Amino acid sequence: MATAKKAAVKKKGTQAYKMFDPKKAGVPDHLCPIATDLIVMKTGEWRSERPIVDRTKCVKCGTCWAFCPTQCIVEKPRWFEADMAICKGCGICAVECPHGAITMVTERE
Amino acid sequence: MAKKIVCDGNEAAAWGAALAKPDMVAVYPITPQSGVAETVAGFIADGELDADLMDVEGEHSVMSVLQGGALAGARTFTATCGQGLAFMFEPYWRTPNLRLPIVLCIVCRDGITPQCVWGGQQDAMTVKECGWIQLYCENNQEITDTVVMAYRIAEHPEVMLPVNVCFDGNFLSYAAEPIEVVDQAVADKFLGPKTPEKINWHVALDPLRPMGVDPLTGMTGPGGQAFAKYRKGHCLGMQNALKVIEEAHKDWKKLTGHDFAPLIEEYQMKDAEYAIMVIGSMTGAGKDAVDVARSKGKKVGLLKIKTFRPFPVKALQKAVSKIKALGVVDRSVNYGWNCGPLYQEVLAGTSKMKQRPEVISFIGGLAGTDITIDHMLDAIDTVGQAAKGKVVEETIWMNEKF
Repeated sequence: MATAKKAAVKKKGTQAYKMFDPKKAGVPDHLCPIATDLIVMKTGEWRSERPIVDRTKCVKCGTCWAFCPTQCIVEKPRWFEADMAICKGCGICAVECPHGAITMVTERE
Repeated sequence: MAKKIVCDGNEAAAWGAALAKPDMVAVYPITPQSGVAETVAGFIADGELDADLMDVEGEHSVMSVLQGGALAGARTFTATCGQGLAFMFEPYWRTPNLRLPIVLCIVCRDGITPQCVWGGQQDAMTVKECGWIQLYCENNQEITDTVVMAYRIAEHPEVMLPVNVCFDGNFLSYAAEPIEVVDQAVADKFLGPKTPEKINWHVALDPLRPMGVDPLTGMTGPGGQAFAKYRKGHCLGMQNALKVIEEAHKDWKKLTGHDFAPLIEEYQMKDAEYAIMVIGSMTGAGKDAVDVARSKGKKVGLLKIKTFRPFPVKALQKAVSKIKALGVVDRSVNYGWNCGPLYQEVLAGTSKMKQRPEVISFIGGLAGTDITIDHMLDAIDTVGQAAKGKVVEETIWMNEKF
């Protein structure tokens, strides 16, 4: 779990306030649900199938990039592929690819 | 100077609220609670109470707007009952989990259907597991005093929970009685200085203290652990409240001379062999019936429960430790157990005692029907028989015959 505890980034001309610190304020941690930390949820952890790109078939048309609901398609020198930390394995790219370059493969445990 | 006035229960609640000087009041009128809304609105219109009155479109908005107020540091007040409480349920449920010290009078009304606008405690009893503190009042003086005390209890740092001050619709809401309204300086002294930090030191809508209020929390892992931690902390706050409720009543008595038992009142219990247990406005008829029975030589006493949530288990066990039988009179129904809800709580509370009394369930006074001294005398007879070994197992419906 990545935890971003840093205060808001101070930009020029804006006043940034530090995130509320319950410990410093003397608030017991069992009192009530307040979020002062950011816990990043990785959609890649949900995946049961992964997209495999056939690099010989990919023409970099960008169809997969346009359709991906998690916007996880990244550009490589001669092809596009999904970022596996984010890709949730929905398979939309495989269906939409006009060149049949993407196939879904079952993830192993 | 304290002043004596004659007023009904709704006005008594409004006087109590005014003494606590709320910053924000939101109310939606509903019978038999409307008098609370009207009286508080009158105080604000006349300039006697410096509070924002929010005219909202229904009870769901009442509680939602008060949550926003409390998160911004406002002391808040409202009242509702019956179907209004039902409509309020969604934000009602969230309030105690956010640990917001809101005070809500429930002017108890029986549940529909059958169509009914009259008194009965089915509304308040139905929401007893939502995590609010619930205090039941016997008369109008107790209503005024308890509303003031409710703020002291709710805003105590070791409690931080909303409070329901419950009083019987019709029987108290529309009954005029003399009450003593204490001097403002006395209430001020009792409650201490009012600051926003007392309300929202722990959770706030405040740009200077950025925090996400009530984020998604759960599932296996740190989220679920946090969820369990909050629930456990909530239960701890409820248990802390028992001590704080006792302290508040003690201090209130010291300042005003008004003496109400904080958890369970024991009436004629010293040498009692058996007793009846009552809740709310039926206490008067119960005490009169005990006096009549005592004049005939019966060794009977009475227990009046004031604090229903958190349930005062230890006070109950102490109160019933010497008696052989106890009749519990409910003004509402526990459908799942075919008995009254208070009866069920008493059974649970006494279950671990080595010597526990026989307990009998009575249900009476539903939908505005009277519980008279005769009803109570009947109950006392039945409990007296139980003390001698003749125990009635079925629930007794008091108003079935008359």
